[in-house]
Amino acid sequence: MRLKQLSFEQLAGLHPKLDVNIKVTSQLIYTAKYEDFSPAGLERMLLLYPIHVIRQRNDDNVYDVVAGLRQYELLCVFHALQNVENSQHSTKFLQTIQVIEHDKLAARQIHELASCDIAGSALLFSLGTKVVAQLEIIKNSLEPKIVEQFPKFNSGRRMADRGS
Amino acid sequence: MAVYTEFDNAFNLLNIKEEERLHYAKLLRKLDTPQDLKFVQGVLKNFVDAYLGAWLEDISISDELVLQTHHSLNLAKSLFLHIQDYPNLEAMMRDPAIKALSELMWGKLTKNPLYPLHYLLNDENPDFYKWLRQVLFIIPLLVRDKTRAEERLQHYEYEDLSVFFREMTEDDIAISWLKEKDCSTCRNLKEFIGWLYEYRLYYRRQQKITLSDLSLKGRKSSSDLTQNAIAVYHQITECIRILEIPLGYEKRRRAGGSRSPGDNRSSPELISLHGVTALEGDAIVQIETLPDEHDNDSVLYSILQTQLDDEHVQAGEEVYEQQQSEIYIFAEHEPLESYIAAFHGRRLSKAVIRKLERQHQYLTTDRHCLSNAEVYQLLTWCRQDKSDYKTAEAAMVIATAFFTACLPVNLQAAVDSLYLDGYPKLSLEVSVIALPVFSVLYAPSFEKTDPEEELLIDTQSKSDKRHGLHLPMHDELQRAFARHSDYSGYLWDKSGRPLLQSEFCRPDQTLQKFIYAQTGMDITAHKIANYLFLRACSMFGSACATFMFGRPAPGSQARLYYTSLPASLIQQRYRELINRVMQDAGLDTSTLFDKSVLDQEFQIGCRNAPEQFHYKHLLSGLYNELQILRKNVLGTDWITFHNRYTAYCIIAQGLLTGLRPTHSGFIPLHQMLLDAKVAIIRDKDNADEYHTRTIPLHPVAIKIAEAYSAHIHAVLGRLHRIGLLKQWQFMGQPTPFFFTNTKTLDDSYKVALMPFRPRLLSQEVEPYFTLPPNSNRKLLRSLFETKTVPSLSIDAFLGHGNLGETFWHQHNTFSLNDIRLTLFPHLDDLIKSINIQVIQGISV
Repeated sequence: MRLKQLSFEQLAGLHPKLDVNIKVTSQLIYTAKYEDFSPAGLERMLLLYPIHVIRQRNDDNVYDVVAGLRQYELLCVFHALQNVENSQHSTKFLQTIQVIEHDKLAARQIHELASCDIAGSALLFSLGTKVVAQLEIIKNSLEPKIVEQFPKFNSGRRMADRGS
Repeated sequence: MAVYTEFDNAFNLLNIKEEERLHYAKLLRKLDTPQDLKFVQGVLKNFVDAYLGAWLEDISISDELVLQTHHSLNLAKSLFLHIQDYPNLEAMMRDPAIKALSELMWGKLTKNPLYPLHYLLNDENPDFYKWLRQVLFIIPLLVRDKTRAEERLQHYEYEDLSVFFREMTEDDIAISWLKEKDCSTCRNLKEFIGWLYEYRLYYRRQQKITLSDLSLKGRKSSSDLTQNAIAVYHQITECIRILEIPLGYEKRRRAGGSRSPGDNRSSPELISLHGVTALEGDAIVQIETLPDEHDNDSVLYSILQTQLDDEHVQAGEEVYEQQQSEIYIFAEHEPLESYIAAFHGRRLSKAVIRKLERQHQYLTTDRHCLSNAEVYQLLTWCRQDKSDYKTAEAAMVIATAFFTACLPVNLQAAVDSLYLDGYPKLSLEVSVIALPVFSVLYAPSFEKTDPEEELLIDTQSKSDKRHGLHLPMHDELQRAFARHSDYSGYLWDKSGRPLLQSEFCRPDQTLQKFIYAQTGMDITAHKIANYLFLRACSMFGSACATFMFGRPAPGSQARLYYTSLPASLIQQRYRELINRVMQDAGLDTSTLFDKSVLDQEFQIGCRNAPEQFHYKHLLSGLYNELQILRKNVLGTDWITFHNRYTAYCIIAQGLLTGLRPTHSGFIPLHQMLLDAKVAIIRDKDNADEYHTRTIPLHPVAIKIAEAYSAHIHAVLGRLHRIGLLKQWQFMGQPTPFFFTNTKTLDDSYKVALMPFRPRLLSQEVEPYFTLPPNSNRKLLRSLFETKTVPSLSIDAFLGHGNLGETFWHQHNTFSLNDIRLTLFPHLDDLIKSINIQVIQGISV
C-alpha cells in the first residue's frame, strides 16, 4: 500500500468485479447532496479519505477503484458536470488526486474492501439523531472559513433538507 | 443432460462448468468465434470496450436489444476474467507482436469472416472500429425476425464486409481518411453508413475518378491504377448497400442460375440513360402575396416540398412547420401540376424572396386597403335611395362584397338560402350570412382511421360545418337587398342565385368604372373585397381572419396548424369588427344585427386540438403516479420515477415555453439566461438563423428547470453506481434523457440511456394522453387567440413569423416585455386552471 498522485483520467472506473455490489446499493440516500460540497471541500475530503485503487493487469498507466466509493462517485459527477454546465467551478480543482494504491489483491479481497466501505462507512460517519441540530453545533463551533467549503451549512433550510 | 457445443474442447481447457457453456457458446457465436477460441481474449476486451461509451440508438431504443446486449456484456466480462486465470493458455491471449491479420487468422478469414474485425485494433481511428463492432454485433439482431431473403444478409455479404473493413486498415487513402475523420460520436446505424458515403466521396476525389468512369466495372486485380480505383469505389458502394439492408433498403443481388457468356445486357454502357421518375412526397403551394387587380401577374405563390423525419412526425409536426432546405417561389397563377412540372426550371432568384420579406416587413396598406373616408363614402352611397335598377344592383354587389369579403366574381355563386349549395349564402329571412368553413390543408395520411369511429366523433359538428360558418347580417346589407328586390322584382324565396346574371360580377372593370362614374372614387373590386379581411387580420391576427372569411391570408400558414377557435367566438368577433369599422368610418353603429340568431357550436381550425382538460388529466395522472413511486424510494423504482418525472417536467415546462418537442423538448437550467429570464433556443433544423428564438421565461418554467437540474445531479451519482455515467458523458450529456428497457427492472439494472425523443415521451404519457407531443403549442396558440392577445406576441413566442419577419433583429422595435405583459397573465391563469406544479425529483 502506498500513496500515489494520479490524474482523474488514469482512473478507469470501478473494478469490474464490483459492478454488482454497487448496483444493488444504487438507491441509497446520503445526507449530503452533490451540491453540498464545494470543489475545494471535495478536494479536502479526498485528501482525508483517499480513494483506494489497484493497477490494471495489462495496462501500466490505468487504475481500477476498489474502495472510497462515495468519494469517487462525487468526483465522477463533478467531472461529468464540468463540461455541461461549464460552471463556476474552475478547472483547477480535482484534476490530480492522491490515492492509495494496493498491490495485487485477490478477487475476494477486493470484494471485501468494497463491501466494508459500503457497510462500515455509513455507520462510521452518519449522524445518529437530530441531524439538523448536530449540524448546527458543528457549524457554530468551527471556523466559518472551513465550514464555507461545504455549502450544506449555508442555511438552516439547506441543513434541514434531508432528501425524499 | 449434457449439452454439447462446438467450443467444448476449448471449454475443457478452461474448466468451464457445463451449465455455463451454452451461454458462453451463444455469445461466442455472435462474435463469429472459431472453435479453438484463438485470441479470444483480445476479442472479448474489444467487445466490452466498444460498449463502455455511448451505445448506438438502434440498440438503446429497443428494450429487447438492451437486455441482450447487457447479457452479452456480462458474459464477455466474466469469460474475460476467467481466461485471465489461465495465463498458460497463450493461444487464447492477444498476440501483441504480430500485425498482419492474414498471419494471425490463418485459415479463419473465410470461415469466420467477422472475427478478425472484432479482433483488430486500429491506431488511426479507434472510434471508427469501435462503432463498427457495435454495428456488426447488432446487424444479425436487427434482421433476426425478417423472413424474406431480401431483408436478410447472405453469408457472402458478411465476407464482403470483412474484406472491405480489413482492407481499410491498409489502404493509404482509407488511412488518411480515418486520420481526418472525427468518429467520437455516432447516433445510429444510419450515421455510420453516412460516414461510408463520406469516405466514398473522399475516395473518388482523391483518385480523381470521373462520373463517367463509374459506368465501368473496374478490376481489383488490374495493374491499371484507375481500373483498380474504380473497383474499390464500387466495393464501397456494395458495402454501403449491405449495411443498408437492416434499415429496410433492398439490395440488388444477382439472380441465381447460369448466364450465357455472350449476354452483355448488364453491361452498363449499353443501357440508355433515358427515363425519369415523378416527384414524390408532399408538395404544398401557398399564397405569398395578396391578390391585387392592378397586377394580377405579380401574385407570388410558393411551393414547398419537404420531407419530415420520423421524429418530427412523432412529435406531431406538420409539413409547413419544418420548411427544410428550399422554398420555390412562383410568379404565375397556374394549376398545381404546372408548378410541379416547372419544379426545376422556375426557381426564382433570391431577389424574389427578398421581395416577399420586404412585403412582410414594410407592407404599405394603402395599396390594398380602403381609407376610412372611402368606406364612409362607399357605404353612404350604398345607403342612398337609388333611382334605377342598375344602381340598386351595384349597391347590392358592393355591400355584399364588402361584408362577406368575397370578390364580386365569386358572388355569382351566392345563394339566397342557407340550405342551397354555393357560397356565400345570404338568408334575408333569418338575417344570416354563411361563409365556407375553412379547412386546413393536411398532407394525406396513410394511417388507418376507423371510418365508423370518425363518424361517431362529431356527426353533429360535421353537419353543422356543411352549412357553413354563420355570420350576422348587417342592416346595411339587408337594406341593399330590399332595395334591389324593389327594383328588380327579384323574390328572395330561398331558391335562387340573385347575382348570377349581374354585369357587376364579371371579371372585368365594369364595377370599378361604375363606382368612378357615380362617386368619383377610383376603387377596385379587390379593395372592397379585401377591406374587412385585412382589418380582421390586423385586429385578430391572420389565423382568426382566415377562419372568419374562409380564405387564406398570405404569409406563414403555420398559425393555422396551431389554432382552433369556436364558431361562436368568430361570430362575436365579426360583430366587433363591423362595429369598429363603422366607428372608424364615422357611421352610425346603433342598430346593427338585432335579428340574427346564431347558435353554432363547433371548432374551426387544426385537427387534434387539445383541450385544457386533456392536460389537466395528464398532469394529475403523472403527479399521482410520482407520489406513489416516491414512497418506494428505496426500491429499484427510481428508474421509473426518473422517466415519469422527466416526462412531467417536459410537459409542464412545455406548456409555459411552447417549445417544439423535436430536439431536446426541455430548456435545462444551464441554457437559461437567468439574469434576463430568457432562453435562446433553436428548435428547428433549418440553417436559417431566424429560427433561433429568444423566449421570455415564465418564473414557473425556471423553477421547473431548477428542480430538474437538482434531480439530474442526484441521478448522475446513481448513474455512476450502476455504471452508466460514462455512457451519459459519451452521449454528449443529454438533458433530459430517458431510460429504456425499464419493464423488467431488478437489481442488475439492465437499462440503457436515450436522449429525448418525441416517441419516448409519448410512450411515457400514454396512459393519460394520446395526442401528439406538440399539442402544447396548439393549446397555447388557441388559448392566446381566444384571449385576443396581439398576434405579433404569439408569433414571436411560438416562432410563427412570416418569411423575413425577424422579431429578434437588432432593428426590430418589438420587446420581450411586450410578450411578458401580454402573454404571461394568461399563462398564470393556465397554471391555475390545469394545476401545473413544480415537483421535486430525487434529491440524493
